[in-house]
Amino acid sequence: MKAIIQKQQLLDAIVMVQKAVMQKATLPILEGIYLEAGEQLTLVGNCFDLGIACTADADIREKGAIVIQARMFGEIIRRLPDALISIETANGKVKIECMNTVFDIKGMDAESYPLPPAYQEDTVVTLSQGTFREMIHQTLFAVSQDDNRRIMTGILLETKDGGMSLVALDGFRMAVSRMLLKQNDAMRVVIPGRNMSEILKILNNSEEEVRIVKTGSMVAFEMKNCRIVSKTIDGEFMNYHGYIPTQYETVVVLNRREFEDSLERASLISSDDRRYPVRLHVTGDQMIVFSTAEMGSSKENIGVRNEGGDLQIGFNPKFLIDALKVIPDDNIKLSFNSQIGPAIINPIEGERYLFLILPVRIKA
Amino acid sequence: MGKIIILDEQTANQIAAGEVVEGPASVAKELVENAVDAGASQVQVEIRNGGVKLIRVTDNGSGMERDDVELAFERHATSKIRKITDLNDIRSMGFRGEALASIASVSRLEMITRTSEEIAGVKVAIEGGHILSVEETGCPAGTTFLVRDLFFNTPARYKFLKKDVTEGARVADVMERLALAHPDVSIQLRSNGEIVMHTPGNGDLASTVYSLYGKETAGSLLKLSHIHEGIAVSGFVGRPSIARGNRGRQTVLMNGRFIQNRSVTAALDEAFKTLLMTRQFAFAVLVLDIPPMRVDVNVHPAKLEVRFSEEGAVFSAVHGAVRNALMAGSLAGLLAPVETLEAGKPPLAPFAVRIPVDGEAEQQHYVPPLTALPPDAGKSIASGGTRPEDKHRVEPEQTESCTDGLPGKGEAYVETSADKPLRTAEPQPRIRVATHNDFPDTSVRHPSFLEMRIVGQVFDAYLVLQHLDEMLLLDQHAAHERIRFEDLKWSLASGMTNSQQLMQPIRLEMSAMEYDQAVQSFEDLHRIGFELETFGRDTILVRAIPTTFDGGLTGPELASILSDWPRESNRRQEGISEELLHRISCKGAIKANRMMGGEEIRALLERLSNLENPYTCVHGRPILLRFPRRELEKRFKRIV
Ligand SMILES: Nc1ncnc2c1ncn2[C@@H]1O[C@H](COP(=O)(O)OP(=O)(O)OP(=O)(O)O)[C@@H](O)[C@H]1O
Ligand SMILES: [Mg+2]
Repeated sequence: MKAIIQKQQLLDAIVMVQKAVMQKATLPILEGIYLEAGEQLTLVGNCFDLGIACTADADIREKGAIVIQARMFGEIIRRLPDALISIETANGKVKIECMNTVFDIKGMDAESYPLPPAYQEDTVVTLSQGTFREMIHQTLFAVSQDDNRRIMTGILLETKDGGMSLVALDGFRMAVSRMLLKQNDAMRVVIPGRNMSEILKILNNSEEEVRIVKTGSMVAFEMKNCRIVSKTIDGEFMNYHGYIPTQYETVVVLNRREFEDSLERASLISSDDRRYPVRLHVTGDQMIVFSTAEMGSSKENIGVRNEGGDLQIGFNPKFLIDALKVIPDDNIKLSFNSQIGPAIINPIEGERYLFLILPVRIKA
Repeated sequence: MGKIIILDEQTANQIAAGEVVEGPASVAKELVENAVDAGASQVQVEIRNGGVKLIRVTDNGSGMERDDVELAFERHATSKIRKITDLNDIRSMGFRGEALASIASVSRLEMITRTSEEIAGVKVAIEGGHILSVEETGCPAGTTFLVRDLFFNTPARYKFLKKDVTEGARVADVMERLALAHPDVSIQLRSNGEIVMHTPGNGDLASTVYSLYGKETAGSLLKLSHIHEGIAVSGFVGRPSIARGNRGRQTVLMNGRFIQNRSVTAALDEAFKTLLMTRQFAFAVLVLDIPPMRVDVNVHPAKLEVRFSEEGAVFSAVHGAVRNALMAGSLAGLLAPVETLEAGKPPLAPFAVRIPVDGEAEQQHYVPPLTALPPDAGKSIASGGTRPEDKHRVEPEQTESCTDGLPGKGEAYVETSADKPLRTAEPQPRIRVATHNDFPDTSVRHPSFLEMRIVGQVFDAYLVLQHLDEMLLLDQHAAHERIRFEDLKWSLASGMTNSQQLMQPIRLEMSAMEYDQAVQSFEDLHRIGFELETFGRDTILVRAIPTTFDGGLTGPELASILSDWPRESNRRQEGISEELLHRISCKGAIKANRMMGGEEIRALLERLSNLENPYTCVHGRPILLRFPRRELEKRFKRIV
């Protein structure tokens, strides 16, 4: 093969596919990037759980394919001057040329590279990259890190009733992000959180489309120059609707920023590792945020609009902050039922997101 | 005129009768004790065939006057007490006037003695209790005993003697302890002509330890210095690294006498708990000074066992002393060994500070010599005095902290009032606002952890670190387990056992037997912060878990903790079964076989730096192994 390509374009593609290349594999070929000169230059990284293929515009002089050790390839390209790069193979070797520099490195046989399988399209959902990106951002933090409960280490993607939702939960809290969808196939898959965070980095904040294709035990995300194939997690995702209360005792409307800042301040006096709860005390149109920790205590008043009864309740402040951070709105609705029932954060209008957080019962 | 009188009958009867002579070791012990009582500064002991053939004890003590010589071998002949009330104030080793009579009756004995006032000495020969001869002889001042053919006339007892080596080892063991009890007396032991021990007799306990056990042991000592309710505890304990599989190197000395006492060993074990593996015993030379009135030494024929009028106080004193030394030791950094044997540099004199603790009697706090502490250690431990555990703890000894009185720190920590609202002028919400006094100080106690360079991880289980001139290996699971354990204990002590509610209860399904067992631990689990409910006859629902957990406890783990642990182990900490605490800390801890990133490692080290004990896991296994650079250089044969 022989292809000529702009350095930056090549580097961008390498960085993307590298996310799916194993750092340390038993088979050396799995540490490689697959390069194919066809109509365009295609790069592939694949670690079975996740496969990423990118295409880049290139001047293809001769078709063909090769696999190159990913880390070295990336380092070489990164350090080359910003100019045209020529990649040429001969007798299993790869010649990388750029201006006055020539590298001659060993390649690996493209035939033995395990490319992600071709797939059939079972169901398809299409939305803008920007929207999908925000939805992942709003839910990813609530994914469980506990490998013992695999299903919770993934994000549920579900289309239903003219909309699409992403749902993540870790047993203490839940994040739901929703959007309206005109045309849609019914889809319900659980995608590993780890893969979702890689996908998040690849998505751009634009109106460009991403096609989500479910196929067997895989789900693919197709974008203009990039295709990502992720394994799905088997098993039944929790019936999350069941956790959401249908009515509330206490509903307060408050400024998101103010609340977040006050929680951040309350956390200043405690170290992360010792989970000091923060106490919220809703009385009339006031919410008092208390915290006590090893360095002292703090107390702060926030003005709220209280549409229900008074209440005292404790939380892990991190759980609240995590949710507040990903909300784009100025004002939010915070609803409670009891000291041990979940709190819900909603937009004032609509259902674009919902965060459910279980409280901490404070002794003494 | 002679000093010896015969005790009146009442006194004699009140003195416990008993078999004094069990074998060569007890003979040697009685003779050496007599020498010590006689004010000797040098005692030489020689044995042949484990002491069965011959025991010779030579001292340079007072010697005996002629008139006393024969009397000394009569039963209840003593120069050391006169009447029963003297028994309450025994300072000498002997007091029953029984030893010589007993020994003489079962051996061929010869004694040569001379006081410094007399010109000629006396030589007595006794066989089976019958005096064969008493004659004048020329000899140095002091006394020499020769005991030959032990049990020659009591074949039944002779049969019970063990092999010579065994008896010889027993003699050596007794001599070691006597030497520790009397560091001011130089004791030499020769067995079949070979010197097996020789202590300097310079009055320094540490040099005595050195001469008996060698450099490694002497280099691993932590000094004790503590007074509790009039009981003074000094001496040394050894770092966990020199612990042994038996109690052979635990010596308890009380008022110059070595003794055996359950409370004392229990206190020692308790203080070392979690630092040592099971079946491991710390090195210890515990020196107790207790007003003689508060001890009964006369309960055991060999005077080995004693009875304390207040066992609890003795337990507290010993536990407090050892605990303090261990704390100070780890503060100085097990990473930078404490020089306890620093010759030439006199340690600063210990000083006592009185700190009234809420509702408690004033207690004296002794500060160990400051040379053992790094400059910043005071800061971190001084605040120990206000840790809330202190107020909640049940064991009295734990209300003490050896360092409350460090210079300039004392006043600041006297006030321990809690629950004071922040600003009293404001209307107080019903929610309790605690002041910072409620919370423990989490300042860095082991700064070396923060200074460590993270080199990497091996086998996904051990972290490779570098600190100063040492390479360290850290067991990630053991470390995390310890962190969880201390977190749990802390949250119990501070009442911060809050319960994170769960979206979905964890269902634990178990057999009827497991279920019954589990239900028994409900109360403990509730106190830790679990919220549990029974569901049917075989299911337990976990509705909330302690906030101290990062969710790191799965259903199966919890079920296994609940269902199969030996409930007989009744030891409790903060009122909770200790075994349960251990299990909970262990189960949710980071597993070996997990890759850890730099951030995560850094966070782990940070947490370790403010633990009470970051050096051993709850089962007593080490968390950290150290490889000094020199050691590596030696192994690479760069140096020899
Ligand atoms: N090495 C010695 N030097 C000087 N006097 C001695 C020596 N050994 C024994 N005596 C004298 O002999 C007496 C009897 O000794 P013995 O050991 O039988 O009794 P004790 O030491 O008084 O009491 P116990 O039976 O408790 O040891 C002592 O009280 C002491 O006066
Ligand atoms: Mg005696």
